[in-house]
Amino acid sequence: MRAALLLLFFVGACGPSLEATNYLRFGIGGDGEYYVSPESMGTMQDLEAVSGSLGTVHQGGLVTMNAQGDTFYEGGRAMRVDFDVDDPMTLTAVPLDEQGLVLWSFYGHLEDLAGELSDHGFDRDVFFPIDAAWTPVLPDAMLEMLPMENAAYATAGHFFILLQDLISKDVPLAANAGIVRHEFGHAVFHWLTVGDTLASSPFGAGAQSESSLFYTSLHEGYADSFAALTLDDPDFFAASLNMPARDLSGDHSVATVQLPAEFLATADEELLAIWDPYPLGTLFAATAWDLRLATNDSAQALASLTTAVLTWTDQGDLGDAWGLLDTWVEQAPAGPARDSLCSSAERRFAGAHTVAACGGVR
Amino acid sequence: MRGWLGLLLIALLPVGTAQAECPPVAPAVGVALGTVALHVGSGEHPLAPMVGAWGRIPLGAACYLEPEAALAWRSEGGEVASFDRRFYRAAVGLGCSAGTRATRVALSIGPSFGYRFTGIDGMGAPYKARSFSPGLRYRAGFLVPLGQRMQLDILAGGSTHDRVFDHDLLLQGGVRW
Repeated sequence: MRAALLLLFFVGACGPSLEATNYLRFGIGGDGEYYVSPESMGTMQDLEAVSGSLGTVHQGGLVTMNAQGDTFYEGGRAMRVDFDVDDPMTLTAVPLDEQGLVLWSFYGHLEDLAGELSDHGFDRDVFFPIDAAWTPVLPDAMLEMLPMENAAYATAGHFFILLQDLISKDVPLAANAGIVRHEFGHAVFHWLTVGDTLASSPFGAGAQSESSLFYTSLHEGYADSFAALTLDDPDFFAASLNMPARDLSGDHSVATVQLPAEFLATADEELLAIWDPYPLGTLFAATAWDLRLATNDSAQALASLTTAVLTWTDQGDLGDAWGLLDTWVEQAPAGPARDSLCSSAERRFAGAHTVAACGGVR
Repeated sequence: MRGWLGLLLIALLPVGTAQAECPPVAPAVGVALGTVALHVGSGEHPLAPMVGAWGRIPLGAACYLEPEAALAWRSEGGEVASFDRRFYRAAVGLGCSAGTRATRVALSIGPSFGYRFTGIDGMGAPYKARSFSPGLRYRAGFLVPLGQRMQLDILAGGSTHDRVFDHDLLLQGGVRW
């Protein structure tokens, strides 16, 4: 009997005695600033494991990739977030460490987005559930050398990869709603262009053609557009990172951006030449933001870009970035929308591409 | 890390200067200083400083009972949500040692009780969380007498709470008699 009591003493867990109806998380207030505040449980089913009908966050595990660039995730363990529910009035679950707050916030941002998807014409069942891997072992040596300060969407595997922040931030990356939406935007772009979240990417892993580099930039550009337009914030990184190069309200132009052909011409001469897809992608995202400013309608701006991506995909050349720009303009109704796109195309892409459809408009 | 630990142990080994008339394990009390790797929700173990007090009650020539109490603290977060975390632990270990009078290798195990408190300042909005956790305390290391009156031990170990672990490395200094 004594031994049994002693064993119970060793293994007994003193979890929260109250059932939570809310959990603490980062959110964005009406003033656009981040706050921590209690939010309703929504679809969250297990606070300790960070799991609900939208997906589950796992810790550790191994991400692998095949030659086609398809990703797979295995071996992740369940999260063990320590928390307490000590206020019988609010029944709010409060985590005992910052990582718990970050993980809950990540799920909460997905919850917010899931509720908005239908407003943007998307079927949430296409994208959810979607799991996440927290600090897994990564398949790429270059990625392993940069194991901090990042998040990613794994194409074909359809899951998120979340990495720990190296430097403490006011809003950690995985708790930044814009960064969560950026990664989700990759899932949307993948689905728009290949038709299935679990389908292979059109360009294999490590592909270094002009088309594949254009495609990766368009991936980033659409993801940035998706985040900025669904949040109505062109500088969604700012709460976590000071990145003026990614602020879509900035005066970015192709004059300062390396294009795929230029990169490929010099890549062989450099030992570790890595294509940076962001600067070119930012030009497309900034064009989407220009459209939002001209029409004063972020949802319409996203719909315009999404429709263009679908039409351009049907044309069959996913490496033809200029074709997407042309299609975008051609589909825009005459008036402020088309004027904005033509103005942006001229201002941001002058010297690299001329949109024929803008010739008679401006 | 292992290299540094090895150098530290090599430095400690010749330091043991117990006299022949001293028992291998003597009654002692003292303070502890070191670091603890505290488990967090994501499964990682960020480091925090740890201080504590300890005592040793001999049980025969080589074994002992060692009550200890420790406190660790860690601040984290940013302007939007700043965390003030405290970790208190009380434990009693039953240990045994082997070796020379100058330096002994020791192992101990016993029950522990942890109390965690976290205060979150959400830009003026305060939130609190507490957790009580019984668990298992386990340690291994070296007991090094310094003359007849002083004791310096280096012990690595950890404790469980719920289904997870914390790890610590403590330097214990004290008086023996």
